[in-house]
Amino acid sequence: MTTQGAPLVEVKDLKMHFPITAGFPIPRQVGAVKAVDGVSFSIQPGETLGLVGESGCGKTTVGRTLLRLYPPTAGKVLYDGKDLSTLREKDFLPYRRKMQMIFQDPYASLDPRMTCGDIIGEAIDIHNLGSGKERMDRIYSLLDLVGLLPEHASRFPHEFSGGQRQRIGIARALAVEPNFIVCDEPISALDVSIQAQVVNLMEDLQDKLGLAYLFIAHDLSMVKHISRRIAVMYLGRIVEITDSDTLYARPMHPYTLALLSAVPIPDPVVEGTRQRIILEGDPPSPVNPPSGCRFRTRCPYAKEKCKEEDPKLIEVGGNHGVACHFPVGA
Amino acid sequence: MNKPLLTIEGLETQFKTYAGMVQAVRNVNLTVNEGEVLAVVGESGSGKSVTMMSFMRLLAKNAVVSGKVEFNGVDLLKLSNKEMSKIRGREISMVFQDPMTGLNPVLTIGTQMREGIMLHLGLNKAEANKRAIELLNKVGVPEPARRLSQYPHEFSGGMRQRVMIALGLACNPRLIIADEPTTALDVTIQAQILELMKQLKKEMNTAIILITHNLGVVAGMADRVAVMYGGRVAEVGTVHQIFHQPRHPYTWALLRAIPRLDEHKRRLESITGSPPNMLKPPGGCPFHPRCAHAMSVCTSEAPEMTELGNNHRAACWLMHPDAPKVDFNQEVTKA
Repeated sequence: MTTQGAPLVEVKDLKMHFPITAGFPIPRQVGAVKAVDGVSFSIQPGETLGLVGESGCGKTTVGRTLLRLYPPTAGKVLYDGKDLSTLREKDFLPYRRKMQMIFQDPYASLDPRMTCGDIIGEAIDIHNLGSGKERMDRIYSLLDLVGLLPEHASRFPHEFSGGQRQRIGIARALAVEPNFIVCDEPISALDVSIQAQVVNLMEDLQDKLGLAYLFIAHDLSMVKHISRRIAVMYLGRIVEITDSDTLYARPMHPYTLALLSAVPIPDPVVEGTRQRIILEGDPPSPVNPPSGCRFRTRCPYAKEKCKEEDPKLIEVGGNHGVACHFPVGA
Repeated sequence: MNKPLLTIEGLETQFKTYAGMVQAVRNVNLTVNEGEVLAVVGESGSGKSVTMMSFMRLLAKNAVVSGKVEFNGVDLLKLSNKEMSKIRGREISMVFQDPMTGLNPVLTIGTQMREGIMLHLGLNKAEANKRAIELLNKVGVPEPARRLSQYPHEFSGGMRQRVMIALGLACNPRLIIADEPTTALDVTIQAQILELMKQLKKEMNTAIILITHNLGVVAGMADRVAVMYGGRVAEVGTVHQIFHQPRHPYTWALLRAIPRLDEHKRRLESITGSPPNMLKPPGGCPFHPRCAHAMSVCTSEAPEMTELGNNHRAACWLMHPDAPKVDFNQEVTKA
């Protein structure tokens, strides 16, 4: 949705379809998993956009396609106004420096045979950002930045706890001085007491370095805490996007409503009085999404029109976009 | 309601490993009353699952368990394996965290459900089938008769967890141990499963031990809560006592560390440091290296459980009459 100032990252009608093949010895395409099917949003410098949705809705694929870890099927990704989707791999490298990623699983995303220093240093080597003493000084200052000690540089990933490993992952992302980081469920593998440490660190780094985040997670209360704006995804599409307070106070898409009501609140008095909207069934398969509105099979308000016509993401005032024919409270 | 069904007294569980003895559970005392939901919360490695597995006698051979666990007047730790297998699944059943691995992938749902029913209730195959269909219906699996001949991979995560619950309910147990039953599920599916468990509990008056780290789930489900840290129970009380009058610094810290959907916190208060290494747990109170209120006594001696009235108990030296006075209300409102 439109916001003041030039956006740092802009995604326009991004699509990522994974082909399904069958047949031997010559496989042919028999269908596609429409993981991301027409997603548009923009992120301002220094801002956090939260991306929430159930597993399988395509939120991780959005993050990965945005960084060209997957080749997009269609659509554009603009960084600072420059279209990245048409660039060759060689020309893309400088932009890799500007856009980094923090992964979900701090156990799987670090090479067990590399020391912490080499993990962070690898990015510095690739982008030729220093060698010898300069490189080591850089590594030490990055370790310091994320709350680790210089002697940690010579240790291996297995010597660290989950929270510390995630700090290494953050240091690695920061090594090339990016402006934008895709955080793919960075805290969901961590214990509650450690989650707060990592989230606070990420907020501090944002203040200090002016980073923009795309914060992908399924924990809505944590996303609301860290994000200025939130996009809600369902089956490859964004169904609602607005600033986080509005999303909580005046959600308009029936799916957002159900999602918000399903999040348990840690207070027995509040929990005792809450009305839950329990959605029936499971999300449909992204191979054959339902006709019209994709949420209609589980939507309590679905009408005939929802079956026939695909709702567009339209602005309903004040940076609030909803993709629904019959938005709640409109 | 207040008749104790399960009483755990002085339970200690250690694991022999090459690195030394892992002291997973240290002097745990808990009771579960008939028909109530006791939530056990704590971080990974705090001993919550091991406590349950200890008296279910499901631990590997390197575990050394001592103490007394009375269920219905019988000490479970003294039973023979044969006697125990009559209680497991019949009187006490378990619902595991991961519905992907909790079911056998090469057997149909029907075979897996019939096994327990035929064994414990002495029914023949046709009767067991009828009972299985009835159970799947109860937990909201559509077309149960057709579903019985399907394999676990043909079910979605939420449906698998429903099957797991149906398995748990199969023999009308008096106690169900649900070990993180919704952790692997999406929030909308989690809401479905929790609603189902609440409804079933009301209908069948089964007691539930709910192991979880999600305080939101606890607030909605539990009657009483036990907070575990470093293999010990830090605090135990009713859900209102724990959320509104917590007395243990770890409970305060836990409540402050999580964001709430219905309020705006400028900054989360994190707990410094990391959970203890149970090979060499810190001396005294296990929480003292991370505690903002730690005193010198906390480093040398483990605090006793102090009764605070109305069955609210906390193991903290701050409860000692000579301890410095802490404004509890302020600590709670900060949360």
